[in-house]
This record gives sequence, C-alpha cells and structure tokens, in this order.
Amino acid sequence: MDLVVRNIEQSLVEGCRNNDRKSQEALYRRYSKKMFGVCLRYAKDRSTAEDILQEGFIKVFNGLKKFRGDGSLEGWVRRIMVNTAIENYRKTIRLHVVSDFEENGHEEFEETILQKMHVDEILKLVQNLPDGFRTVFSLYVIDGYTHKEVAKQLGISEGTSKSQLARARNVLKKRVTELYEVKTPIYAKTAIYR
Amino acid sequence: MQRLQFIDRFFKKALERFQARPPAEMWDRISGSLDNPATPAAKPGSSRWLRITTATLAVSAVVLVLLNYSGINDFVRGRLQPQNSELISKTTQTGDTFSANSTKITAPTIITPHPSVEDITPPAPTAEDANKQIPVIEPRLIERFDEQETVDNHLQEIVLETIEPVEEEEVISDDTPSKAELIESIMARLMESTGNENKNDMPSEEMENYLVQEDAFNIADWFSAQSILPRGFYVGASASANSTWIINQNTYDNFDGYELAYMPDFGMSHEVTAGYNFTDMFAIETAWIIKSYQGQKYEDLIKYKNVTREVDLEYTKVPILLKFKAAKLGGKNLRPSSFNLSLGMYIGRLQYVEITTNNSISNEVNERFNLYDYGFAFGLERERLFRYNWSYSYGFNAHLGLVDINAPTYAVHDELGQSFNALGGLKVGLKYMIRN
Repeated sequence: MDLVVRNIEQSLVEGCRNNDRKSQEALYRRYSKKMFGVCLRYAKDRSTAEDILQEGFIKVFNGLKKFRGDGSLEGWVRRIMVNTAIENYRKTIRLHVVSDFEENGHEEFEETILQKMHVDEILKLVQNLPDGFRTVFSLYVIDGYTHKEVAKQLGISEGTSKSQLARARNVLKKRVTELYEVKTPIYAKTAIYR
Repeated sequence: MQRLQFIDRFFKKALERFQARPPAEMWDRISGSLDNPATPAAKPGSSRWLRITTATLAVSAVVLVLLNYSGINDFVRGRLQPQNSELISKTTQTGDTFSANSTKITAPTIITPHPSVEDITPPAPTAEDANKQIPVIEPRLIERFDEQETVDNHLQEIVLETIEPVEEEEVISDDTPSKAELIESIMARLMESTGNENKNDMPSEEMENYLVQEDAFNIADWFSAQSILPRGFYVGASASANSTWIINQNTYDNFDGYELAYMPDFGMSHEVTAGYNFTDMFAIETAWIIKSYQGQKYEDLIKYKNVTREVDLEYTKVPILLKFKAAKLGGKNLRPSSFNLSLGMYIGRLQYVEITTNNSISNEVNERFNLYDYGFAFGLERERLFRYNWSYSYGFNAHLGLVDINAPTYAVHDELGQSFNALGGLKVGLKYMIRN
C-alpha cells in the first residue's frame, strides 16, 4: 500500500477514535461513494441502500477501536457495509413467494445483449432480484465470497447457496432476454419490475 | 475457487467498482446519529413476550370468571376447607351433634367414610377422652350399588343409612325437614333429573356421588376427597375450527407503519385423543392431530402493493397436555361435569403447503418452510358425562409456535425476522372412558 495512503488512513483512524468529527467526516467523504455502490447492490431500492449506508458508517465509527490495521481500511469498511446489508436482508425478509419467478428455459442467452446495457440498468436488474437471490449473487459473484462463506454468513447450506445462485442467474438471463426481445425502451420496460 | 459464468463475469465487471453519490444530507444524518445515539427501539421479540403474558393473564381472568360464574369455586373451596379428619375429630371428641350449615339439618354423629377415602380416620382417643365416656362410633361403609337393584330401593337404603332419627331437643330450626320429607324431596329431585322411565339406567356411581355431593346433606364436607369423575384411561375424537395467524415482524408497527394488512383466515383440525385420569383432578392427555390447517391471509401494503396472498400450511401434530379438572354435578340430569384447563406442548410436522397469490395457486413451495414446528398448547373446555362411560366436551383451544416456520434458506436468525404459527378456536370432542 502506498505509504502516503497508509499515513492518511492512520491519521483518519486516530482522529475518528478520538471522536473528532472532522476526521469522521473526512473518512466518510473518502469512502461514501464506493460504499453506497456496495449498498445499492445489496438493497432492493435506493432508500434501503441509504439506510444501510447510514447504519454501516455508524458501525464503522463506533467500531474503529477494534480495527487493528492488518488489512486495508477500505476493505474493513466494505466488510462492515456488506454485513450491515446482510443484517438488513435478514430484517426485511418476509413471506413473499420466491416461486413468483419462473426460472425455466433461456439457455440460449445472447451474451452480446449485455454489452449494450448501461450500468444503471445492470444495477436495476440486480436490485429487482428477490432478496435471497440478490444477496447470494452479490456475495458470491461480485464480492468474491465462496459458497462456504456465503452459507455461513446467511445461515444456510452450501447446496442452498448454489441453488440460489443458479436461480438468480436464470432470472437475470430471462429478464435481460425479455428486455431486448420486445425492443422496447429499456427504462420503460424496467419500470414494470419490482 | 469460484467458477464464474459469462453472466457472472459481466455483472462483476460492471458492478465491482460501481460507485454512486449518496444524498447530500447523508453526512448530517450520520453525524446527528453519532451525536444522539438513538434509544434502541423495543424489539418485536420483547413485544411478543409482552403479548403472550398479556394473553395468558387475560385467559386466566376469563377462567376465574367462568369458574366463579359456574359455582365451581364453591365446590373447590369445599375441597380445601377444614378437612374431614378435623370435623370428625371434633365430633368424636365432644359427641356433639353435627349441624349441616346449609340446611340446618341436625344429625347425630355419623361417620360413613367412603371406600375411596382412605385417609379419613378419626384420631386415636387420648386417655382424657376415654374418661369422658365418648360414644363408640362404628364407621360404616356405604355399600356400592348393585346395578340390578332399583334406584328407589337403593336410594332409600342409603338415605336411611345416612340420616339417623333426629331427637326433639336437637332440632335447632323449625323449618328443618323431617326424614320423610327429606327422602321425598330427594326422590322427587332424582325422579325429575333422571326421568321416570330411565332412572334405572342411571349409573350407580353417579347416584352414589349425587348423594355424597347433595347439598341437602352437605356431605361433601365429609367426603371432600370423593371423586365424582372417573379415573382411568380414555380415548376419543375431537375437531376444532380455528382462526389462524402467522406472527412475525409484520404483526408489529415497528418500522414504517404496518407492512401487511391481515385478512381473516380460518382452518379446521381433527384429532384422535388418548389420556389417563390419574386423579380426580388431574389427567394427562395426548393426541394425534391428523390435520391441522394453519397459515395466514394478507395483503401487502408496501413492497408488492395490492397483492393478496394466502399461505396455507397443513400440519400433523402430537400434543402432550396436563389437565386440571374442577368438577361438580349439575344440569338437569345431575351428571358429573368439569371445567378442564389444559397446558402443554405440541410438536408438528408440515405435510403440505399451498400459497395463493392473487388467485394463482402455487403448491411447490414446501422448501420455503420449516419441516417441524413445536410450541405451547392451551385448552379450556367443559366436559360432561352423558353415559356411564361417555362424555362430550366443548371449549376453546390455542396453539402458539416457538419455531421459526421459515426454512433455513429463508430464515432470519434474529428476533426481528422470525415467523411463528398461532391458532385459536372452538373445539368439540367425544370420549370413551375405561374406568378403573
């Protein structure tokens, strides 16, 4: 790690540990965009992502005394955000029926379709996944957790993690395909998704 | 090692470094939270136990009111009053006549312990007592009925056996009925209660118990340990109509208002029961609830607006209950009846699941729910013998699950996200008793 960056982080951490509000704000400004991006991936909508971000940063500031500096500060903050998102997922899970989503077919997925998509559309597709699918997909695919780690985080079996991931993929493929098959403006189409 | 498909790699590449600017006021919100740490909101879990406690107290209050209303309190109080040995002791030592409070009937010192009462024996006389020339009292047993005898003959025999001639000087009230009047009165009541044509069918033990409990003699005080309910095994069948719920965080208004609008949902259950009355006041009972329909119907108010869902869960259950019985004779036919309060646990196994979403039925969602459920079982019923070995019952029953019904895949491992089965409703049953 760049020595300058390390010094900056150490300075921020020390300031935050002393409840220096300016240091806390500086740390927030430094990581808020990245972390909000993480929160948006795990949340079903922007409002929920904001709640996760707020709760996550409060945990960061309250827990900085436990940060030993073994790894990067950013990685540590990111893990807290992911854990906060998982907690939020646990709090908001409901008896909504996952089988609302058909999962059969769509093996003939046109990979080139994806190249046409904007990142906001891609994010929207992920956000529109059912809570369980979205969480497993984000943990495994984007944040690089193994199925064993996902299972431990969510309190499920590895087999369940794998099946949730497979179903998440199928749903994503189906929706991307539907979007482009009907040739409708992408934003108009995505609006109907929950 | 991760094995990413193309679609995985695409999403990873697109979103791994994805950033977004949070709202401008976000820092103010965080800063404000740091300045004024919010008081932790009451968790629904706490609220849940508060509700359970409140419900228990409410049910207890209802039970007390019912018991009081039915007059059973008097009977129970009678059982707890100065016991027979004390009464007998007093009578034996003094040789006084015993005055029945309720009817002011005076009778000589008569000790007629019932065969079932083993502990009612007069205390051994002291030397001082012996000097007082205490009248010798021969305990006699009330003979058990021979079912072939006629009711009339046996009734007269028992009454004559129980009521000794009243001496003139011992009469303490002018309105004390004579022996003949008493017999006539009891006969009339029995004739009325049993019916002229069927009185010989009246179970002998009931007849005996009637006499023992009959207020006119106030013998209940003498024989308070007398069991008026049969002891022994019993088997039966019951059915109930219940209102069912799934209790979870959506039940509470803890977040942004209520998330679901609950709609009435009802389910039937039926069962076969078996139990054992091991005393006249306590029994243990188990059952096989063949089918117990549970679940919840609701409308989503936030996430999927205007979506109505009905979750139907079908369980098979086995409860184990401890029953407390408060009994008396009553009704037109003076049959033994009791109020039964049951408390226990149940274990259930999920048999079938069906979820209806806006009239679209899906029944391949078993994996969504936990296979097993267990929890508290509660019952309050009135039970009444209508034949020598048969009784019927009716009352209220309730189950409250203690296990999150969500399967591990969908479970939320904190108090906020758990969902529990609950039901409450009316229950009727029929039992056959194998008397000891």
